[in-house]
Amino acid sequence: MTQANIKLPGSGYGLLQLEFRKLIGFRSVRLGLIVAFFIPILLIFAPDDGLSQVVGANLILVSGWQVPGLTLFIVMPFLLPLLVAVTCAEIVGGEVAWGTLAPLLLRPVSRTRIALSKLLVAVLYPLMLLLVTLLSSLLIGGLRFGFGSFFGGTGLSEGGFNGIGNLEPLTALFELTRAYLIAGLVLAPIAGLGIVFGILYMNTAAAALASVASIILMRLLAVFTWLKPLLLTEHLDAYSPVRTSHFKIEQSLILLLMYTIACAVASVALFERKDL
Amino acid sequence: MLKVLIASFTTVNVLGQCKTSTKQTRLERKYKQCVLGKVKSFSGDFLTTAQAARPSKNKFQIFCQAKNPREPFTECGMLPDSMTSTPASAPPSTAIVPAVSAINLGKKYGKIPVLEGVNFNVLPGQVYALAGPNGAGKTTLIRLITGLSFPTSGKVLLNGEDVHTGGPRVRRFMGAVVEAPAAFYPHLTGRENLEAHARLAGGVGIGNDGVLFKLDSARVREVLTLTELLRMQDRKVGEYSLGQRQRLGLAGAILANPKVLILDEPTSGLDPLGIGLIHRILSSMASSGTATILSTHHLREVSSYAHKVCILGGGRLLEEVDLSTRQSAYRFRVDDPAKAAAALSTQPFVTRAYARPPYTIAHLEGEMHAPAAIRVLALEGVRIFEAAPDLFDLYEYYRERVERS
Repeated sequence: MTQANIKLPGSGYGLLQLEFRKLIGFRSVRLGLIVAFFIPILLIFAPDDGLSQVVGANLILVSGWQVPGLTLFIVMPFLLPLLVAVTCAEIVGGEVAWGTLAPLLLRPVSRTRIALSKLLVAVLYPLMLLLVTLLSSLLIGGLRFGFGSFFGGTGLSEGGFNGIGNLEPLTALFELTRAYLIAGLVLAPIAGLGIVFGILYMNTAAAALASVASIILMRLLAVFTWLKPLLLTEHLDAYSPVRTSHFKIEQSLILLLMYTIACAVASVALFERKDL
Repeated sequence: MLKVLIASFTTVNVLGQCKTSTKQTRLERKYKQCVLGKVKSFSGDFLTTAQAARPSKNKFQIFCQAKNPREPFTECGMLPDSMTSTPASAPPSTAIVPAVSAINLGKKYGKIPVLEGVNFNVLPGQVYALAGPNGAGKTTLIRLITGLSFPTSGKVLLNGEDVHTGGPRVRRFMGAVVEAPAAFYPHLTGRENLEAHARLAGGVGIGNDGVLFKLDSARVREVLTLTELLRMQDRKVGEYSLGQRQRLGLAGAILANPKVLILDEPTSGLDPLGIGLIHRILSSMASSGTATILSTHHLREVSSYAHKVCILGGGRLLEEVDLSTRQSAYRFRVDDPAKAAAALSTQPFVTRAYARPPYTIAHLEGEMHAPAAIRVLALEGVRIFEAAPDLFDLYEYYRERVERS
């Protein structure tokens, strides 16, 4: 053969495609997606007084638009951060366990590009989980209550689930989309932590434990009030207008972005000189 | 997408002095090389500009720019030697650049040294075996050579470029399997795994004639056929046996026709037929100019095709055994070994002769002198019962050497 189509060595598309295929291959990802799909179904059949205790308000579901908001309140404080921390730790740790990290580094692809591809896929994973949660909640909520306009709120705007009057479907959809996107940004630094610890420990269990321990430690550090604005855990409810913390949404988003960038820089710096 | 027809270079004059100006071109800054000159004549329709650079003594790279001049230069091939011309003023260079050089290589984990002061060169076409007891540092050495680990002292050069600081393009000419069995994504098929590796390799390989070839499905099929895995190509790797994974590892390593092949225990877990297959492939690669480094415990096996064996012990290179100089000894079973040794010692084509009753061992300058040696013995009146090559027993030699260390 004398003629060849030339591609840049280790093209980013090929690497990203491979990373994404690997992500889909993880059992923890499949399990996470199944959980994300079934949680709204579980909630829809839960008694209203039980749900009221969980969300801390008098809650009677009347519309399909309320189910995604309720689901977000249930999964964001603990379940999704845990799923994201474990799976993102596995993105590096799983590859080490398979023994496929070394063959990847033997190809003419820079370590920086590999680390950033893993980070990018890790950041996409929470969005996948949230998308499945949103679609599942809309599906089950719509089937049960319908999607018409209603008196009440989605839980994701001023007024919470009680709302401030009649809510049109388009407004409800906008509120949900906005809240779910912010929730994706909230989970990005946790995904980043999973990658950083994965590179540091080269082991899924150790990295997952370190990520979860970091989150718990940050929650404990909240006793130092002067430290609060800098703690990631104080901004995890940024998707909700009815927040326990009193930071502006812009403040939270900037801090979350800074955490994610710091994780990217740390991942690249650690990976560049990591012995395998 | 760039398309290039390397064979269509008609006049190429890229040798000459590097620019001394401190003002570097964008291309020079990007590739940290000096641009020697423009490729004058290029008959491909696809390019507007091509430039050549010389990163090391006997290596020429071509950088191409697509029709749109705003697109960056892209490394698009190696220039075959036959297409370069040497200016009259430049002295012809005959030195062969080693494909792999380990220079004073050392590695410590914490304060514990696992490898110290290792030096060796592997030339193109050589098969270089690493032998040593468990814990001698073979795997560490392989990981250092491939750039997976970083040395605490010294450096490794692949085709003249530092594997640890030269960036990913240094690995473009390297194929390696660093684990036994070779590791692949278990949820992908053998073919899908190789296709993923082809994409990571940039989608092109460079043939022995310097011509680029596509790493497409045909090439994947070709290496699968070579390693006798074609019928397994659509099975998930999780279903492969140990030996099949080893062979798939080799298929991945040779996919882009590497100039340097590095293998950690390539025959581990293989049946005799599989071992034979690997030997045939490695011998064929070596004869086409690929430098091969492999670690092994199967010394008798590897001595049939390796050129040199590096014996490691306690993290040091104990000895480098040149097998090519040890294969030309002949043994003669004779009635008087001492007399035969004395007779052969006087011959100009015998470098050394000694008695090892009932044999006389003679180191000849080449196998072609064996009939002459028999003639000499016959003229001296020595009765010859048997004449055969006295094959170097690498295993015995290795055992003695390691016990002595």
